[in-house]
Amino acid sequence: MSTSSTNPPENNQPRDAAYWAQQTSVFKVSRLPTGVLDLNVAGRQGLSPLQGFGQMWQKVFRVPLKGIEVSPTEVIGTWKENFPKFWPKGHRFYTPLTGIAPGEVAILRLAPGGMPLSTGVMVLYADDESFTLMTPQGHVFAGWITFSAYQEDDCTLAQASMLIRANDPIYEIAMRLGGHKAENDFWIHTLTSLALHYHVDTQVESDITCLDQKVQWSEAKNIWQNAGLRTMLYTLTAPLRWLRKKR
Amino acid sequence: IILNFSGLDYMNSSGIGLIITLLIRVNRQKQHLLAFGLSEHYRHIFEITRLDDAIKIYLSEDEALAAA
Repeated sequence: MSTSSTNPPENNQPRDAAYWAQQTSVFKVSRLPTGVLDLNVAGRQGLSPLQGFGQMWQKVFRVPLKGIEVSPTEVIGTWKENFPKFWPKGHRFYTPLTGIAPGEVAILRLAPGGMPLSTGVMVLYADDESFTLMTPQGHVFAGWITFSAYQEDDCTLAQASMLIRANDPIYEIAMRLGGHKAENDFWIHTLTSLALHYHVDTQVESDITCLDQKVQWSEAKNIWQNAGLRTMLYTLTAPLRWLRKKR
Repeated sequence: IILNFSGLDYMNSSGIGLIITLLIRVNRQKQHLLAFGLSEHYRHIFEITRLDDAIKIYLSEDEALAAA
């Protein structure tokens, strides 16, 4: 994938040096937007699909931005600036105060099936034509989601591509019982919203493949980090925290 | 299968995606994926992406071949 370099690397550094997160895979949350709580994020390990429990899926969603002249760089710039705006209602993405940049951590408030789930993502990679988010322990998925834009036959396409496994047995069951459809609908909505931002009303194309049908029983222990359960526990214990504050 | 990363000076996140899909195919064949020649920068990428959990990294081709 070609990219224009806005931050030329120092001598002897690879050309991609400035685009990768520099810290370790442990999530660090620096400054939070006002009123946003860090729950299930700080101190969690980042995950590749290799550390997940469920079947491995590769899902690619793309939308051709036909009839308009916009470069891949402009599309990604717009997407980074407006990332939460294109999400379906009910799910919140709190953009890091310094924007979508390598190493930054964003807080997520999701509502899969109506259940509140507090987690986050880290920006693993970001250049002018793509950015990749990495999930932490406890998230629904172990893996990466890459948002990119590219030119094909004089048309710019925007794409969301994920390589994921459900993180633990509870999530894997949920995915098989409708979660995959909900996930697919989520990204179709997101790409449709992005296209409508450019006044392009078109169908999102999808390409979904199960790369590995086997589950990884060695990762069933991930259940201890399940952000959905932890969020529910946090919510249920809110009265206790309120009482403690009153004393 | 041994991957030679010597001289690599550019890899974006699609590159690590390709490595994962290669790893899945290799594991399906009950084989192993090894790597050598990674610079400090790419070793860091393997660590942060947790690829080093599944792909053993060696300093030289000889070491990788000896371990294969």
